[in-house]
Amino acid sequence: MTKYILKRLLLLIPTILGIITIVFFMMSLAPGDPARLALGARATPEAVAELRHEWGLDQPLTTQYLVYLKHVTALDFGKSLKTQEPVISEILARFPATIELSIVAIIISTVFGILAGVISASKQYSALDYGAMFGALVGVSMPVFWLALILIMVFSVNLNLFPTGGRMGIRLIFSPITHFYLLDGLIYFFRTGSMKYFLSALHHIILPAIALGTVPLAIIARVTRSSMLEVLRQDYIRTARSKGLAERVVIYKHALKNAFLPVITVIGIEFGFNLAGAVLTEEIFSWPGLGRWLFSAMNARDIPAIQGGVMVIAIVFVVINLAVDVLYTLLNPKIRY
Amino acid sequence: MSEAIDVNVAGRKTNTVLQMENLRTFFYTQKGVVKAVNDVSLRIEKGKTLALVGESGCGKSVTSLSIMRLISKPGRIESGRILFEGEDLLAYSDRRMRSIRGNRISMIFQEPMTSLNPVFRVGEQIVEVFLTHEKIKKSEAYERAVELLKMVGIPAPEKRITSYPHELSGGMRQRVMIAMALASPDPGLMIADEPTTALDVTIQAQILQLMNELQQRVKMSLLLITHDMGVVAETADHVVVMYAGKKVEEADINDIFEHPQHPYTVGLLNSIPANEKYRGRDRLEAIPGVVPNLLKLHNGCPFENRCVYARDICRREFPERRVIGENHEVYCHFADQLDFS
Amino acid sequence: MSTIEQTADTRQSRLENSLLYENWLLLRKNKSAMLGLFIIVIFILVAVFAPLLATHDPIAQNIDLRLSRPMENGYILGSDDFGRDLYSRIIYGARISLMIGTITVSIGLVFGVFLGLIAGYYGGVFDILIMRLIDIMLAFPYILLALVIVATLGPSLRNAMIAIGIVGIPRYARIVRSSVLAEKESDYIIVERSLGASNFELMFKSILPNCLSPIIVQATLGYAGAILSSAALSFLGMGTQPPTPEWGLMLSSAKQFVASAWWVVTFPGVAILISVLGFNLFGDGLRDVLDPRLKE
Repeated sequence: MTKYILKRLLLLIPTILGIITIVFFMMSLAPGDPARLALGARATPEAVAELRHEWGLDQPLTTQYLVYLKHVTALDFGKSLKTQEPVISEILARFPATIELSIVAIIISTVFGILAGVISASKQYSALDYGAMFGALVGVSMPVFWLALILIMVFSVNLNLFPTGGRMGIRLIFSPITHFYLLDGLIYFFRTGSMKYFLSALHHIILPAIALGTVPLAIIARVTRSSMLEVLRQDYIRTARSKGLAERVVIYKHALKNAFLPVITVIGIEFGFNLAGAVLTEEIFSWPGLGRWLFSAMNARDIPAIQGGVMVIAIVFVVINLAVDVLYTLLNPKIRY
Repeated sequence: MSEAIDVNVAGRKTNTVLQMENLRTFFYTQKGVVKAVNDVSLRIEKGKTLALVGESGCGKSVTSLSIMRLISKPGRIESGRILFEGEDLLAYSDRRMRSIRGNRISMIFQEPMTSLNPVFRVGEQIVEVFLTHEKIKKSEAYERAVELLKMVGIPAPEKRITSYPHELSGGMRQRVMIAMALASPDPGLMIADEPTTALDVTIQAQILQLMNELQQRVKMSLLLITHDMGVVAETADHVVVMYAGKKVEEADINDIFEHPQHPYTVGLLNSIPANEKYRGRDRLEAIPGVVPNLLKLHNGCPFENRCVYARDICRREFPERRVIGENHEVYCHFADQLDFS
Repeated sequence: MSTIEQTADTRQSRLENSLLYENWLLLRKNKSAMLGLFIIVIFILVAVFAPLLATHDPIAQNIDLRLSRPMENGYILGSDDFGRDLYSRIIYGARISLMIGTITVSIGLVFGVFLGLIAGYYGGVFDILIMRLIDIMLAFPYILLALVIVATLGPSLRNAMIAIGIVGIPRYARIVRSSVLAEKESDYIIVERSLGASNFELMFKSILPNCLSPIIVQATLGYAGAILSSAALSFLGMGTQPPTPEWGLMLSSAKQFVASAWWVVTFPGVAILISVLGFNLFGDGLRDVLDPRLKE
């Protein structure tokens, strides 16, 4: 078993190397001179040349690449052109926001998605089944950012039920501890007995989580349904029924446990997508996460920030996929390495 | 007229554990109606083994699933009665039927490889039956499960009880299924649907022997479904032969082998390599032709297109029941006129 | 029977025997697939006949009549922040989306199929190299990869299409590669090779036609994905640039009007939803018809 994990981890290295290489060379293809961009249009040619030398931009590309590689392994992604802060700390500051949103979103998707899929499968060909599956198809056909806008329009502006953005009520003075606001809210509750921080954080995260979670919910529902249908056809389900078990037990115990395996893979992959693709949702809800930061970096042509951000996200994505694969083999009693 | 009142002595009726009367189970498919079980009646006596014989597709499996009421869409039990210890199962509520399944009537299936749930341990699957039907503690259920495993001949049952199905061989899995079917304080009827077909020949013999032994010990009745007359010879007390959804002959075990009256039954017997008549010969006699398309049956005898004795009337009318001996009846227009020697 | 009847008979039976016809009949029974096809046809018709269907010039501004409500001032679905007719912009948007879908799917398909054929057929070092490349491409979540490509090339409609096309390559490559691997050892290939067929002929004339079904399904679903991806990129300002009437772009400035002009926020999104739904419905139906047959 550990051999398998080690093997996969080893294979990870060329992939990560590939990611770093691609990101680096893409950025170097980008039009425009980073040094000039940093100094502005008024800069003198000498100042630009000096900065280029300081940044090592006058070296041949391969040398630059190796230098970059060396820095990356030390987790030094350079400094953001916009803020002059180390890129790594910018990333770390914003990571928790994205993670928290992704986790809440995936919980919503998983719970409701699996429920919908199981019920659909157990009542195949009924109106409920067709309705749910059509709904799921509509869900994956919707642009996420549009859904977010509609949610805001209906629930925030018209019904005034939810705030339109941000992570925490503006008027609440709050110093984060873990930077996971829901967690921090609970900590405050234990310390001061006041739920207001927790409730405000919850209040702010619900709408974006629903927006982010809708498409994965639809996908999870569809996969759960087809997996369940496959399982319900199996002989051991017939055996279970012949033992006199209640239908509920047959479906939720015998069938679901078997059908769950491929669903887990999908959940993991969707979680990865959430982390990486939250850009759109974060933009609309003004959620101060990684996606939003990366996007403004792209607009500002902040090359080191873009490189660092893209790499971190891609690597996290790859690691999550690996974790999902490992989890799958762990849970499948038929595969033992 | 229900077949319950027939040549048998009235007193024997109380020894009947299952009585099926005129069962019809149809499947409504997109291409038409398949009459999988078309007016079949049979009786199983307490402590005895009834063998239900026929080729694949003749309706024997559907018959057994109908008894358990495990027929799902697009199939439906159309009409008939299935009396289990005097009460009609077809009139039971779902809830009551569930209390019967696994408890008084249990079933073992053909494919031991796929009939056990791969993600649960074997012990848990047996214990589940206990816990569903009785109010006993889990620890007691596990103890009884170990006893059952021992009874079905699984070595080191205390260790095996925590195994997953894929860790056991085909023969062992089938033993586990038998144990699961016995997991009840009062097993009444066991239905075994081709229990040995998917197993090696040597294991087959072991499983059959096991079932015989258990039947003696536990005093349960057995409905054995098979296409193999050799298996029938080893285990059955009474035999019902089915073809294309209809019963064509029924007799006690000796009669069926020594005095078969239906051409199909004769054909089946001829296909056993161990049959006496093949001594010295090296060719098996197969029944020519194929099973008719169940969607396009005519109203006569379904065996007509393969029967060497068939006449016009065989295509027009399905034969009436003819009693030709003690516990022996046949459905053929020319019963006891044909010489099969 | 007369010769005319005979010819008609043989033509009829040949038609009936063709696999395509069989599949079509099966597909017809699937109601949601037919709904999808209906939507797609409407979509294409709207795109083609846009000039006839539109009521205004899609990029003509009329600041005085900005943010008119639907059915007000002659604007069927209302007007946007610059006084442009939303209805006409949506109609012309169908044209843009159709073009985007076609070009991106073509890019993905042509290069993907090509790479897949090479990897599957020649195997060896080609296979390893190509699969590594594919794996690395798949290591990026697709929106991120598309964003990076567009950021590198510069935001424009053309670059957005290139980016989306490139991101789509891995899927086609994988499908074709596994089909080729499955077909490569078939008897008919061995026969044709012994008869002197060249590698090129084998790849394109013999093997490729057998891989068509999953490719077609993927292409149909590819249109859906392309419309969504392009909308996302335009929304972020990384794709189509104003004043092109692309549906995603129309939504990019819509957030400020959430409270004041609901039509600006709603209708472009509905257009995206319906067209993508059409392709998804049809693609799903196609997959249901074509796939179980592969299983058999």
